[in-house]
Amino acid sequence: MNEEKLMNLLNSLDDDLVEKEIDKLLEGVEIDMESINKKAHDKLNSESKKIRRRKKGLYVAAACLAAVSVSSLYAKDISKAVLSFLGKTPVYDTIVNGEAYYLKDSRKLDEHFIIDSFMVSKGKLEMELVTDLPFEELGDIYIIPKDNPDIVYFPAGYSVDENNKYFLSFANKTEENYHIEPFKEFKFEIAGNTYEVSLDTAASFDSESEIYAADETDNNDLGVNMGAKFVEKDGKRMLQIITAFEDSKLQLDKLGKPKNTDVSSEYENLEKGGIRSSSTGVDTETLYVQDQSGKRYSLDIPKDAKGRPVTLFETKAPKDAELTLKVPAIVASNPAVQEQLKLAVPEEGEISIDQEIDFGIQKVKAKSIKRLSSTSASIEFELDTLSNDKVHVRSFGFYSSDIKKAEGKFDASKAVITLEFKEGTDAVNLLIDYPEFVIDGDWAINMY
Amino acid sequence: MKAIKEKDVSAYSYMIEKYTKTIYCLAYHILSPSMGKEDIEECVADVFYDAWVKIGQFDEERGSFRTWLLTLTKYKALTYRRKKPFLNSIALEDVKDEASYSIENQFLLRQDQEKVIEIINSFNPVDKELFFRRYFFGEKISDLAKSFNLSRSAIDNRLLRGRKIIKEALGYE
Repeated sequence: MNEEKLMNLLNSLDDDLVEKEIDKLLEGVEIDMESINKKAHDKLNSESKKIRRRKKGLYVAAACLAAVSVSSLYAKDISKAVLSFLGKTPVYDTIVNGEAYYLKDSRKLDEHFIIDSFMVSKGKLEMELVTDLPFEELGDIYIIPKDNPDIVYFPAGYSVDENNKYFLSFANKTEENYHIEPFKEFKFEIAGNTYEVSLDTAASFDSESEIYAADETDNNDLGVNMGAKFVEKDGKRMLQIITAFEDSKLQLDKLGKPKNTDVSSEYENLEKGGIRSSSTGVDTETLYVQDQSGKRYSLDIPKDAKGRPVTLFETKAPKDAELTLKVPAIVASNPAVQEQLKLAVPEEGEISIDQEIDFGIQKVKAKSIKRLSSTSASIEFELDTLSNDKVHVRSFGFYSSDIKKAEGKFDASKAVITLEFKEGTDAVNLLIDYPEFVIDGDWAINMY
Repeated sequence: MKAIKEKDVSAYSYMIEKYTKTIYCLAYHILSPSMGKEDIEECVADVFYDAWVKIGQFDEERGSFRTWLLTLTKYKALTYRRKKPFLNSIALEDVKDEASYSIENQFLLRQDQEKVIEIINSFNPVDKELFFRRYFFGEKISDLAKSFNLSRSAIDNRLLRGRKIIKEALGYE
């Protein structure tokens, strides 16, 4: 056996054999693994900071490792940012988590109905429907997945434009919550008719695509990773903003800072007519990208954008410009929150409640309830009691079967909900749900 | 390797966890006793960072990742030693080592590996260490001669004798 062969052989040893022999060779020698690990990470950390200054936040979203132990905080952060974008699926002009199914082209069901768009992903089911029938003739609207006929989804909210196009968002009627599982085929019931519809599978982000990430170390405590990428659509270069929450229950509602902090919402129990509720929508300030000379270009929502929230934007910024995207804030909600408040209504005057409600990233406190008349009372809430001045509760949902009507007014620091009920009512069960937050991250994403 | 090339930092942690002992072992043999624990640790940490930066130079076709790391270690340790010439001078040609990780890919049966280890472990302690340092870590014969305080021909003879025993045991031509 010559030198080379023996070298080949020993260099090809299986790992376990190597380790055993190394242990023998190092017998009596103490190795401070922790110290070496720290030194190696310090070197990387210090160098990475330099790299990030040059090429801030560019990651190629191709990294997928088997589970490995990550010992340093730095490693954990970067890894999280990259991985958090990989589970995202762009559908129409929005982004959803995980698998999604959608209608590639609008589909005419009959002379009365056209489904203009349809998408379903975990926790999200939306449809755009065009019809010439008046709302009262639509009857019960149901969606029943073909592979799970025990589940029925129904519209939990809608809006309609001047062209009779309805935007419908659905909830789980069977479970009375927002638990939605993706499905490929479904039965659609409307106006007493049933239609069968099958959907296309949406693909996740291309694993080779470049994603520019915000420097997440600036906003570590917010649990939000923000990124962006360029997308070619209809021959245009567009910009897509990607948001990933460490708390998977959080959902993005809108990108940008709300124009108004005040929110009004109300609901009324119409008894046989069901429940009518409405709330102020979120109108946010325009987002901008900035080139190196400081010139700003607006990010415009495409005219026929489909899917909400819109994350794909048009911009007139030159294609070769080095751009920095600024996202001052986002609006997010948590559909998983459901808290019951059991409240005694005083015969007269005001009584203290002092009950904390935990919304996860922020807390509020029900402070007091005050009798207003024989059939009404108001509850005052203190908002943002968790010491995090970057997360504000914008609003939350409220409902009680004990009351006829309720109206909520939210401002920057407090909320007052006024209840109307039957005479003689001395207690109410109030369900608090679906909190919506404004998160001030002031993210900057260098797209070069 | 792919993840390191893509700069996934969790792969960096994984590399450190997996190869620290191996790299430390070689750095220790080259740098000890002339350098202390702190210097050896710095050297090992440098090797990991070098691997992170130079991963583009690693060619899977030419040898295993471990062997490539060991080559980096050898160069790094020699650089460390050169920085302290008063302790142990190194000839320049030693740094221009042959591409010792340039080995042909060769499929080896697990039984052969175990057999070779068993034979080397049966050698006396000096020959045993000599074999691993020469054939696993790729240390130069001249360095080994210095380290073991033996003449170059004595090292050659010991290695030759050992190789003969291994060759016969494996039935190699």
